[in-house]
Amino acid sequence: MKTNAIFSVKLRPVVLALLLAVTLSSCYSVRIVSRDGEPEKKAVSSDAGFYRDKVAHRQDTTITLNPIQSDFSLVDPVCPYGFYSVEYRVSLGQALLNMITFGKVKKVKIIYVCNKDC
Amino acid sequence: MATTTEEKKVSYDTIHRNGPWPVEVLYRTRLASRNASADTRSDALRRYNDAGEEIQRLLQACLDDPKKPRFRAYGSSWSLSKVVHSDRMHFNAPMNVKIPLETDDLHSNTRYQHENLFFFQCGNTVKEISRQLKKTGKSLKMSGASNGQTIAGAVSTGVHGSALKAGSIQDCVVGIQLIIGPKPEDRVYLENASDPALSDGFAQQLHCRVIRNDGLFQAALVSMGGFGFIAGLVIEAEDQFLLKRYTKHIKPKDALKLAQTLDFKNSAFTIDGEKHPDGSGKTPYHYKLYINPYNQKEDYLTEIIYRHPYRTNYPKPQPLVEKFIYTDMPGWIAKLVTVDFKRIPKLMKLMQGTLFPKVDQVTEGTLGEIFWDTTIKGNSAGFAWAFGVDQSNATKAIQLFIELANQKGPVPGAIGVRFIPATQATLGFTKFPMTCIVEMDGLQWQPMRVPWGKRKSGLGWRKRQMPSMKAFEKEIVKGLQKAGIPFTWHWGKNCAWEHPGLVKHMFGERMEEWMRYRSALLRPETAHLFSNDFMDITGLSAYTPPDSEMPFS
Repeated sequence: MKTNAIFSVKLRPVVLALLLAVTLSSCYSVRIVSRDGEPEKKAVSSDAGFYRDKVAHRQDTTITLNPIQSDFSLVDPVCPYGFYSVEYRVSLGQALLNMITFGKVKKVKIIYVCNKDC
Repeated sequence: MATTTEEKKVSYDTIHRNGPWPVEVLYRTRLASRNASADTRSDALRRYNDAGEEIQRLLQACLDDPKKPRFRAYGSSWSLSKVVHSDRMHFNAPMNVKIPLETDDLHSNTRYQHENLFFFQCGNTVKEISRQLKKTGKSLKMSGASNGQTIAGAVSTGVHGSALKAGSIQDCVVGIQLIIGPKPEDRVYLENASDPALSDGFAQQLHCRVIRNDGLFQAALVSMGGFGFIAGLVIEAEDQFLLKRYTKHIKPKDALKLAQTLDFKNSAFTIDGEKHPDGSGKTPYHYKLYINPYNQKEDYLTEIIYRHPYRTNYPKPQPLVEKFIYTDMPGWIAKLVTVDFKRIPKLMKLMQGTLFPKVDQVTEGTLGEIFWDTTIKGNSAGFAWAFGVDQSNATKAIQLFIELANQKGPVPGAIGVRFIPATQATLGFTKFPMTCIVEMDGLQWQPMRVPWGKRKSGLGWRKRQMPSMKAFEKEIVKGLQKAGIPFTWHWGKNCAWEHPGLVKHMFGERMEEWMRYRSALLRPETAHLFSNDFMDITGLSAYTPPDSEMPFS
């Protein structure tokens, strides 16, 4: 019983850290795909799943707004013919950061595929 | 100007992970920029011809190299066989010019209507083409089960659907522009002499010399890249139409009878709303069967599609939400089946909802909407086999394949059966008057010797292991030969291609005819340039001095 108590006290921070690491990094994503678009294809297939044959661009950045700013637009420099797909990923940690900073610090993770020049 | 980037010593892989295979140089050509001030047609012609010059520069570089590397173009990497693999590979998917044709571009003796002919550069995908045709109220006559193949790749490997009257994708091609070397005279435009489409004047605008010859044109249709770089294709389209797709269970007895006869009028299997006034069934546009080879007690599934006149007020058939399985799941399944392959039938039953379409669905849409996008699922490697037999041998071939899957397997895949009328292409694998295509798509596996995989054999017990993919492919080839069923095999799919005399067995005299035309068109050095290991293995790369009846080169 005593051993169990010590064990649990010693392990508690580790378990807590693990739990936090898992929950804060666990994320969900939403992907919107163009029905009639034609994705820009890779010359050599790599990756798994949806992006295997498509040229995927990744935006992984943090946007900080000042007190009088409410929202922002990311301006895309690489898709002159529009987007074939856009995937937005958010983790619990990123959502918490946004909440703690009253919406002023936003971690942004986006994967997008350009339309082919048709 | 078109620009090409070169990457040295890279690995090429297909989207189904059938490689990787080493490539000495990988070329990617980007088209010249558009000129907004020029008219659409002259700008398209400029960009198209400019890209042709760039390809000729690359071909010259290969010929100048003392190692004499071989060159082959590819687009979407959908072929599972090594048909596109070569020393130097050219990624042509960005080469997607569309040249609008005018009435004056047509040959004076053509039977084609100007509004139905379209000129597409090699890298246009089937989806791009469908979208382009839709703008003028037109449609392709047929497509494969999906739309991601580039037109040059789809035509040159014989992509097909299951359209009972429309044929394979190469059968809507009425003209081919090839680049067969670096010289000015190496830009050629081919057509049937008996069925011309475009005028010499148009070919001159492509800087091409014209060759009108039925035999050459038909040989060059399904060429696998062996006749040169396919720069562009003239496609005959037709007025847009709608397809109504039904998925239904069908009794194996009825399914096999239909496979053998395609007599929908007298079949017990009918679809409400698709009958003649006398109650007999209408002949569909498309008929396909899905079979789980490990459960012979259950009904088959059929995808049956009827053609209807186009109208605008129909609900779009594409789903609003597409759900995908875990990326790793196919990989886990592939590992599981190699450890305990006897569980494959159970797994197939569990996964039936994922492997086959949902039953009792009715959707309606244009050809491009019904045969829509395919997304690669998971991270494991896939395989696909597809052999063609004459429809009169359909039942025999399906039963033989099911028996093989059960006796030599089980192997992780589901069977599909499709039907295609005869192609005009010399080496088109849909060569029979009506070809029944028996196919299996599944997960690649590596056989593993397992202690619990035992089977009684003679007096004792011996270990039984899963056959390798290659061994199973050989079993199919040998099984069909032993049963005396004439067959062909889809060029873009996995097969025991190295099986001695396979192509000769499949195509007989057509093989020599194809090689004769190829030799007549190319010079020895360009015949080597447009060969590859696949052509060596299948015996198609040999060059024979051209006879005097074929003065093409």
